[in-house]
Amino acid sequence: MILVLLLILPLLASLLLFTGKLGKHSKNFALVASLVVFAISLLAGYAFTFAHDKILTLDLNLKELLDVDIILKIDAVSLVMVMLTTLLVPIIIASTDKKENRTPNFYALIMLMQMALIGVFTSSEMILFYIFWELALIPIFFITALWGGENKKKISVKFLIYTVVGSFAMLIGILYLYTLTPAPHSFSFESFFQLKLPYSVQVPVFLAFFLAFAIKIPLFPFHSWQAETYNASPVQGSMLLAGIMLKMGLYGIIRFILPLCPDVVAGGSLIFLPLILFGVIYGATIAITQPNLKKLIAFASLSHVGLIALGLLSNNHYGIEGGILQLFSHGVNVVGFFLCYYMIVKRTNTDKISDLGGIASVAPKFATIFLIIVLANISLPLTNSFVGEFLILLGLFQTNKILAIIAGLTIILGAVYILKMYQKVMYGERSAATEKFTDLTFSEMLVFLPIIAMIFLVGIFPSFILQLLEGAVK
Amino acid sequence: MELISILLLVFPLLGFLTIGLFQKQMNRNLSGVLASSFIFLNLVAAAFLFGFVTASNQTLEVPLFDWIKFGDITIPFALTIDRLSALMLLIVNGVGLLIHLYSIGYMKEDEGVNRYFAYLNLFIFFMLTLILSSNYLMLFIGWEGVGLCSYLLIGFWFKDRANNDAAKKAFIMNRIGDLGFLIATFILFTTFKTLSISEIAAKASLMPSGDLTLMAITLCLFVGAVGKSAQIPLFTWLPDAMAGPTPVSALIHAATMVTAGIYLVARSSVMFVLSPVTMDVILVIGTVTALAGGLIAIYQNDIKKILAYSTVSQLGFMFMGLGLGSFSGAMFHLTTHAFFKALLFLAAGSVIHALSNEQDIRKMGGLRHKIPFTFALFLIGAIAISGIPPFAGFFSKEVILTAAFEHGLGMGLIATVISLLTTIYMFRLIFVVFFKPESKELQANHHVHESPKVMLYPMAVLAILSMIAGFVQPPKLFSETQGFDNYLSPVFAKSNSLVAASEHALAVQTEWMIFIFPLLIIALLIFLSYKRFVNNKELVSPTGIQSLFAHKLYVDEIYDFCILKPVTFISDIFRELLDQTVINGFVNAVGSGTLFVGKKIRLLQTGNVGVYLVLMVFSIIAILFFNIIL
Amino acid sequence: METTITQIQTIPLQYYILFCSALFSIGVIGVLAKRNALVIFMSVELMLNSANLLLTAFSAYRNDPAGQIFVFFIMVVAAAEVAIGLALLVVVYRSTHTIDINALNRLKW
Repeated sequence: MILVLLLILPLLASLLLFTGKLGKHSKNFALVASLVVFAISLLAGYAFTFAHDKILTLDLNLKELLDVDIILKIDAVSLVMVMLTTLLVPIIIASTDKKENRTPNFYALIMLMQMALIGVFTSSEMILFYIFWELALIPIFFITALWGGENKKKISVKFLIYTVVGSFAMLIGILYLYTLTPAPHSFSFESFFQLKLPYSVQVPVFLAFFLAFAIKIPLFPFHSWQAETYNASPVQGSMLLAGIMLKMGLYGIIRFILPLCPDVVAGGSLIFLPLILFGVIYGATIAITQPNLKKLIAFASLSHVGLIALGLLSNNHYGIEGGILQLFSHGVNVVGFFLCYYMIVKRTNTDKISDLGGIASVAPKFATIFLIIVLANISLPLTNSFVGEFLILLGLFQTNKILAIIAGLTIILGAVYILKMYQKVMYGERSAATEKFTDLTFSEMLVFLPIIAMIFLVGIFPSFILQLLEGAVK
Repeated sequence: MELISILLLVFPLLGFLTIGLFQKQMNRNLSGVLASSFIFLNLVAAAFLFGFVTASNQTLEVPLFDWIKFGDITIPFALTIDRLSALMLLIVNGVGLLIHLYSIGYMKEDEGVNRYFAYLNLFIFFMLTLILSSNYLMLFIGWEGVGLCSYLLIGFWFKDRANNDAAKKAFIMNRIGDLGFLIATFILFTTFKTLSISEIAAKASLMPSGDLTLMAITLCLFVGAVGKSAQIPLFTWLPDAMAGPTPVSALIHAATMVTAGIYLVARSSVMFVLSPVTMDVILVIGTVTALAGGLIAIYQNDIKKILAYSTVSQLGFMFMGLGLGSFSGAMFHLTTHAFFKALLFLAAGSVIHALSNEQDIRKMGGLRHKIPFTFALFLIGAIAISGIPPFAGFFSKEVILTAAFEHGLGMGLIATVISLLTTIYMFRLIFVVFFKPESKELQANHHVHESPKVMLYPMAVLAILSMIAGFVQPPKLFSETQGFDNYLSPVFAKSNSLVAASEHALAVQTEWMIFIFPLLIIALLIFLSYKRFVNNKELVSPTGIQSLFAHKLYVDEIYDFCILKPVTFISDIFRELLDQTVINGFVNAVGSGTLFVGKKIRLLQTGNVGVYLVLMVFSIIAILFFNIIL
Repeated sequence: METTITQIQTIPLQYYILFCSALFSIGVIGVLAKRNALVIFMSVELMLNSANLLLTAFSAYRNDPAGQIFVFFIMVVAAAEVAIGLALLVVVYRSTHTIDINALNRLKW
């Protein structure tokens, strides 16, 4: 029942918003709806911890009607992802400024997006998964294409086509696997996982799925849509993309690649791990001289998600658990980062780093919050991403020592680009753009509150997530 | 007892939170008092624990809760209080309290005084985390945390770009060391399946000497120590860190944080003694750093920079002690150094304060009449650091020197030279600042004033400590009771038992030689520098090899050329060429290529139905044909 | 029924095949060579019916009624197709006053 509510509520809210009847109250309505969904997901988490086999299942029994059986399932990994989604969407909605005057459709699309994302994370049936996977593209496409900045049409189309190409490869993989399932064929995850594919089959399946996920995550060299799309998208779109949508690809790795192609992951680590690792270093290096704040976030994010992928593919349970934990943390951090970016752009109308400066002297509250978020991004101990990155690197170290040491370089490079950026934006003398910078208002502080809370909560008590995941990872 | 040790962490954190969160509301005078009183409570608790640990001779383990726990990995938050950490507790809280008090006077006029005290309390919190942690990962929290506070405090006056650059540099260089530390924890966990310091020590003591894994671990740990304790090649951040307020330099960059590297090595002594290669590396790095730091200090003109290089040199000296296997000697020097270096920095701060933020010693002179108390305190510090008996520095240096001579005559002589360098740069400083005839600017400046009492009293306490602290362990020559060694002996018992005791104890004559000979040279050096610096109005600009030291061996320039420039270059190449041109170009080319092909193929659609029909018929024929032959 | 089959079978099968091939080829050539849409239409019918005839012949020779049943289906479909096709031609003629296919090239590119 909880699972249905999780899916239906956002959908209903979205439909209601699409009618446009709510007018000025759209934002508040969407906010309340998303908060309700968050409460329900907490309820799901509560139910989950008491479910005896650590799995929540919902079977809609539509076999007779549709010949497709809709089964929704939440296990530990899904729960983390659903929690992340339901936590971030209210923050994203709340962050939109009143002055921006977004139409009801904007909020409707966000709610639709939430529904699709929850669908992706809870479906346990390939076709359903695929439908939600593609459905999630539609709202973000329109958000970028309608409310975006420069070149918004061209870039959103490029983004759409790029990701659809990947999804198509995955679809072929899905259909191929379907033909391999014992008759009567089935699309359910279980029947796929029971296949025990031989190595020669695992390779093409891995390639098909990996292409889809690598584009979505994105991993080097499939990342070229990312910085552009972030840059063109309104900041809420960037948050949705970086905070949640990219995690779909990583979730896919956990959900499909690890159980379906264990031998490829175990044996081929020297083929694709160095490539991903190069992307990690590459993103961090580019971020050092990146003059645009939003693109800097994009490349920093490229580096971080690459590290998560490394952990997940390290074929080691430290790496996998660390990766999942880091999925959650990165979602929170990157949304926080974008929020800070938004606060700056809202007040100064520029996102060129060289135009900014001296903000810390006029806005101490903002400076503190920004500093915490920035430090969480470079995984300082006691912030959320430290534990994740530690476990990822530890897992990677078990697999390959040299790769782990090179990956460790990101903690240095991360400090370089983050501190360089923070110094130029926040310290020094005020520039023309930041002359009239005002500190955060109370409502803006409220938006930051859950993010800061999560940074420290996960940083100090990561065990509750880690132990939740323990069964699922095995 | 357990509650008290938890309170040690709670007080500074509470101080940080209250002052930090209520910065705006809080009265500027209140924050300093509040912060100081929290540290005072901490000092009381630390003294209590010290007494307990010393009396009962047991190690206190206080588990708090499990931090990371799943599968076979368990990393708890837990505190360990043994004699080593109790000693560090006293130093950090004691010196910390004095510097807090001093800061009340020093930072009085600053608008960010509340922020300052919040950071200071946060620093104490992280430093205590570092000291008290029972496992390497929790130690790493403190390790990075003090780095963060150092970053925040160096860049405390953030409007000035140079300060921020210095802060950034300190953080990044520390991070290089931190990577070494992190890799060490990976190897530790892979090898021992735990990160608990005591368990690892127990397991490691069973391994053979010269084990390669242990060597890798200790080398990586030492990389961390090199970063934190500013050793070659990662030392350049420490002099730059003087951009922060002077009390910060005294607390973080002289007395406590920078000695974390020594503490780390001492904590892991079991692993280090089992890895002779690492010990040699430590010895070499420590010696080179001590030598270079001392030589550079002679040619500096900024009062704080001289003290900073002196710190680098003294830290190198402590590492020499560690490398020679004299862990308690290094800890002893760490303790006395904390007192007199903090004193020197605070006195320098007093000078700077008196001269309204003038730091260049060339513009000073003749200050002994204008600020007599500061002069006296500075002199005590200088005597202590130069190793003149009966002040503290003499005793602790003596331990390391003895260890060096036991290691070999050459090593002993080098160590003596290093210790003598101290005399040169310290007395150069004293004579130029306090004795040289006043410069013209100074004569015109009538605002020169002695510091307020709230600054002088903490210095006085430190001065007393610098004078008497050495007597806990007089040289072997005079006394059989080795107070300090005995105190720490339970901590290092295991590691000392693992190496064969020193083969040849020094002959009594040699010990006398070590004792007398340097003193004579010190006297000579003081005389020579008096001659040279008091009468010489203008300092001679350095030439030849001197300029090499004056430019700190050009290390910054080398880094700029070898690391900074290439990384920026690669970053630009990646961004412009690889990312935009190659990768994005390829993706866009696929798009425009499709468009192009579509444009061309479109022309086949002539619109002429006859052509379509002909194409259709021939296509069908072709298909049939191929079906037949294939 | 019997008589029809025997009547069909009085002519050898090869003759049917040759005749139908000729008829079909004439249809193809008509489609390719003619420019008048109506004539092309008629040629298409010719091709269709040659196939029909062949179906009938084979059906009779193999004693399998399925072939003849198919022929009926084809005739029905062809009739429907003709109806639509002619209707299209009428529309085309009304707008362009010609049914020359070379004039009908507005849909190009």
